Amino acid sequence: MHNKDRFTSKTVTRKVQKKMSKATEQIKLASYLPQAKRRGFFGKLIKQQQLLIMSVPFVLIALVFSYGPLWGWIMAFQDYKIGKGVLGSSFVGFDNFVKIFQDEQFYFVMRNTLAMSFMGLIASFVGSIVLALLLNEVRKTFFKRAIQTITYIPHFVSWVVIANVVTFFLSPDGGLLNVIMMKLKLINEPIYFMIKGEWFWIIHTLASLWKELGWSTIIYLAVLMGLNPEHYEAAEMDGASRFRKMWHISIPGLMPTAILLLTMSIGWAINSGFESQFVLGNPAVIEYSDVIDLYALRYSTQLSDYSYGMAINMFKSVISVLMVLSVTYLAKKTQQSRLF
Amino acid sequence: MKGTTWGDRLFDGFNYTLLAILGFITIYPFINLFAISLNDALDSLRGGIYFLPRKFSLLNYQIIFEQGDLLRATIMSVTRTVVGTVCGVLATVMVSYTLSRKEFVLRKPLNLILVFTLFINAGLLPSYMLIVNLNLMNNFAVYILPLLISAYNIIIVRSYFEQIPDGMVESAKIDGASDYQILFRVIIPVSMPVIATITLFIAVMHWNSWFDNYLYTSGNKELNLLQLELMKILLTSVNEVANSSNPTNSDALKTNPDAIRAAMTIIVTMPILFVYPFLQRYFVKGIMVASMKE
Amino acid sequence: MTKRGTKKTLTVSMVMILIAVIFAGCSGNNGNNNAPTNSAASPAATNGEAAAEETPAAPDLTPVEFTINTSDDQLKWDTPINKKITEKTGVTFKYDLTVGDQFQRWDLWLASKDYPDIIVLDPKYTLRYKEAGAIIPLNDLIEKYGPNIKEKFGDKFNLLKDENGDIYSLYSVLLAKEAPADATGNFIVQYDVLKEAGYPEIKTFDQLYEVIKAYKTKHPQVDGKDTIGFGAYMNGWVMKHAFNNPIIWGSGLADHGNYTISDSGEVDYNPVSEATKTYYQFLNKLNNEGMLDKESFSMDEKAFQAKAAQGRILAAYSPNWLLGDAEKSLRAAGQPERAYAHIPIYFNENVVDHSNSSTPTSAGNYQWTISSKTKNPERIIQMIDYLFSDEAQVLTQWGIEGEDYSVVDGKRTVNPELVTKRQTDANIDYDRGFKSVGTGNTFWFGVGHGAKLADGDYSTPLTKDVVELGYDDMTKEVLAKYGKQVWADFLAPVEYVPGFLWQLTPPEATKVEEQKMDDTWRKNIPKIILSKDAAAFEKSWSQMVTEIDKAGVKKVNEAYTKLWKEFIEKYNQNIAG
Repeated sequence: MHNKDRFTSKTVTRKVQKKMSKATEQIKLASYLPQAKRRGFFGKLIKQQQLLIMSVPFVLIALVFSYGPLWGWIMAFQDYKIGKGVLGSSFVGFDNFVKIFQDEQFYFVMRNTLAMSFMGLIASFVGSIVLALLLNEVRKTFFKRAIQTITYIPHFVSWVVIANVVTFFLSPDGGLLNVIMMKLKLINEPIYFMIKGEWFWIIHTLASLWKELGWSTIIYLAVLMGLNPEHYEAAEMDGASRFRKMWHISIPGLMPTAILLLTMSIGWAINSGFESQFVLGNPAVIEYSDVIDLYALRYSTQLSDYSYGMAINMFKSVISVLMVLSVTYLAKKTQQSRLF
Repeated sequence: MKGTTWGDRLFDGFNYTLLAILGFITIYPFINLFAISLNDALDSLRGGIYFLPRKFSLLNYQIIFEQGDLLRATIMSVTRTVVGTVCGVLATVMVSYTLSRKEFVLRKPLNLILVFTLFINAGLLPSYMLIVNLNLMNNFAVYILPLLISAYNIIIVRSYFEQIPDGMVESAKIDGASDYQILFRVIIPVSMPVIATITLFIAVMHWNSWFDNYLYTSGNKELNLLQLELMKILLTSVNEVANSSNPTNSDALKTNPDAIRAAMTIIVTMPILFVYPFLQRYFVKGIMVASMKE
Repeated sequence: MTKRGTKKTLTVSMVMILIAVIFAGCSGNNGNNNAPTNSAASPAATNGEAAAEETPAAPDLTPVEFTINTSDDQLKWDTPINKKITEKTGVTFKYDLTVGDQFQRWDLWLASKDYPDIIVLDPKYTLRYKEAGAIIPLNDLIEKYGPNIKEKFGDKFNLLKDENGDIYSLYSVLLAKEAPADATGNFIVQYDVLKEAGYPEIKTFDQLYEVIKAYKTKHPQVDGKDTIGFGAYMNGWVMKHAFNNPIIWGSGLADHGNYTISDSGEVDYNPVSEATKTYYQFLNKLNNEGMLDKESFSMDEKAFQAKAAQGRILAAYSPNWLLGDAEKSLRAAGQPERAYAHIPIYFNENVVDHSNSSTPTSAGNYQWTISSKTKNPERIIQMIDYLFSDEAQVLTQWGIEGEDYSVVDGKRTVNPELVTKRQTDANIDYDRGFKSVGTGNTFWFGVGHGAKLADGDYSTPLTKDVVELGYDDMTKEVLAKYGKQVWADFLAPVEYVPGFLWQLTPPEATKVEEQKMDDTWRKNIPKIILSKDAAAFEKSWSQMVTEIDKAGVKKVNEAYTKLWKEFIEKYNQNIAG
């Protein structure tokens, strides 16, 4: 039984490899063609003018809108006064950064931010791949499309509404979960989930998953559609089970995209946003629900201390870039698809 | 059918049940909102509405349609979404194509520039001043230009393009096709699933945007989008509740923010919900092979 | 296709995209690029029909349009009352709508030096704009064009001035000697609770405790759901209304936010006071006996309103606005006996009530300032001056004679049609033009509810009789049991204070410490109130006090004491002239 299975999967892989090598041969062939011969950089540039026209104008636009505002980073080194502007405000060196690192609260919010981000991204990574695979197994087109459309609806519902439903479901005052657990005699007294700090990360992760699962599945479904059906057919001929096909064709097919998306999410781990934590949290769980963006809101925006906020922004950007670079480095080692 | 074993059927049963439960759980908030939006607002304040309205009323919708300039705002929202999506998808596809060409000399630098836009930011104030200085305030272009390409979408599309066998491109080149022809004749036809996906992403992003409207174009009523128009009605109802202690108009108010928010979500979500089912027709298996055989 | 053809197509497609973008941009632009500039130079731009017909003989009545910011989406200029104002002043407004976070918007405007002609700001931002030179001093203009402003402010005129004697903003003045007829006490007790207890006098927390305990014991459920003895709401910014303000009002003090001010002018952070401890002990007792809403800590004001609307909450601290539509919902559902009495309650019988305090001006509210980019600021001052005249006071608060009010027996009376319309049509005040960018509790620039004009009649229509008209029978019945006409009758007489601490710009140097203190306070409340016994309470309480000490409460108190002393000094100087 085992042997047979292994044989099947090998056959499948071999067929895939065959196709791949065919493609590489063609590339090699192409590189021998005369027009691809080495020329100077500018010679190539002129040769590739079509590619230039197709990319440079758009990248320039992105450059203006994304990098243009970076002059604002100067504020992080200033005691910026909004009436005086960058030119009129005094410089304070690294004072704002020192202030960040000296604040005990900052370490709390960093812990919470990273914990919730990583819990969220693992849940979303696993959840959306599993959902995509399950949907991929559905043969009834109508059912499949209906479920696809339905699961992406919560993406359009605001966090306030989602939080209302969650709070109500978990309420100790007639909430569904407590009522059921009481009926089943699992507990004697309703549990007040929303003020238990240790529960917050889990509640937050599940609520986020619920809201965004369908949405993040879309991309994986698209990738599954793009996989070569001949691989499946070949596997079927070899008598591979559904599970085998999933494991040896679908999942490897999803991986390049999945790794890319995961890399980007890791880069964003520090940008957890604040809306979900704000609407789900409350003062009783603040030690678990407070995140860096909420912290910035309280200590920068609400106090009109733009320099402090800019320092936090800069810190976040640097951490993001460092995280992405290290993840990309690791991914390179494992031969997976790369961001750069 | 070949291959329907007992185990298969068991798996199917399990799979269908699981997905149906998931579907129910995810559609519930929407059903709940729908029920609240169709319920008398003063009555919904008492809570306890789950699947069906308790005291049916169309007043929440009536108030929204009477108050806001919804028709114009809807036209503006649709215009923005269509223009933004067409421009955005074209730009994304073109840039992604160039970045997927291994021989492109600017591939690395352009890619680096784009990837970093995902992770750096300088907050609201400098961006606002940039828009003011570019003279884009109260200008339709502010809806389109800053969002023209997103590195996220480009990375997704680029990685999809990179998986297309190089042989397809090379043989087209040998036939003398230009990059433009390769992109539109060879690449795009086999990439419909991913293009449909980013079309959805871009369309939804444009449809849901209100912050740029709020920040940059609120000085020109013509440019107001549906989202902001509804947001204004919501805020007005919040203000009115705050002022409702004034006894001189004590009974004038017949709705409340929650009811308005519910009706608003329904109004603004319905149109965009239909975009996905429409795009699903491009989620077809085997599209790549079919064209390879041509 | 040939190569050349391809290139052509490529270029065309590129150009098409760019043109589409640019074209779309221009078509949406509509020449409205720099919205907040003064269009006074081009009078043709105005749409004031009435003013346009006016003879140009009176030069100060030439039509002129100013931009002004508002967060109220429903404001419009095309109304009967506004037309009259244009007729008298030549001024029309173009509203610059700023929905959402106004503070953020004001910051962005200031940073980009791009703002309307009349900038409506709160006191903190007035200061910030002043420092940036974005708004102009108004002293000379008022001297020249503002006789009515000077007359209405009278001996309070100097209060408009800053420490250098400059005036940068204008707002309403409060001349009333009595509390507004719609004022109410901030504690609420359900009518049915009072009825069962035989309408007792409830003056202290202990008395309140007795009645709600008795009621909850007798009726453990209301409509099939658990009765909640005392409601609270801790989630969101409203939390200070549940965990700080009841202590202030229960002590009969003026509301200075999270601080109390002693007679000698010492400012103290209230959350660490003995009174707060006593109140939290009261809440702790309620909680341990199952009378405090067990969900209080994750509830915001909306969840609180929902429970009140279910008729389950017997009592709470809740200003009228915080209760929202709950009472309306109860009445609509045929449960008027579940609505609330709005009364003051104190720590003990000996508390002397100074809580019904008011400032002599509405300086803490919105203020009108004039941008330094405005071309004819004198026209704005002329207009504001007109708004302060008795004629305009009647126009803006009562409306147009015949249409909105009539003079009956020598007294202004609101027309019954307008009264009914206000009950049924939420937009009527906008349609008539009463609503504007208000600067106090009244419409436009007012002199306060309950104040009188030179003709001896009230300046606004908000009288006890009018308020009573809005009550249902049940409310009238309950009030009659206590021998009162309106809830305002329960309040102590109005006392004027120079200002409230929260109206002043907080000390810059300690703002981070202050935020820390508030964070610490908020974080500790649940632990304290959920304490199982007195020892645990003591422990949690002293832990909070220690943490707040560490956060720098002493420094903050000192900074505020200094701020307050300076403010009082300046106030006294100004009053003295």
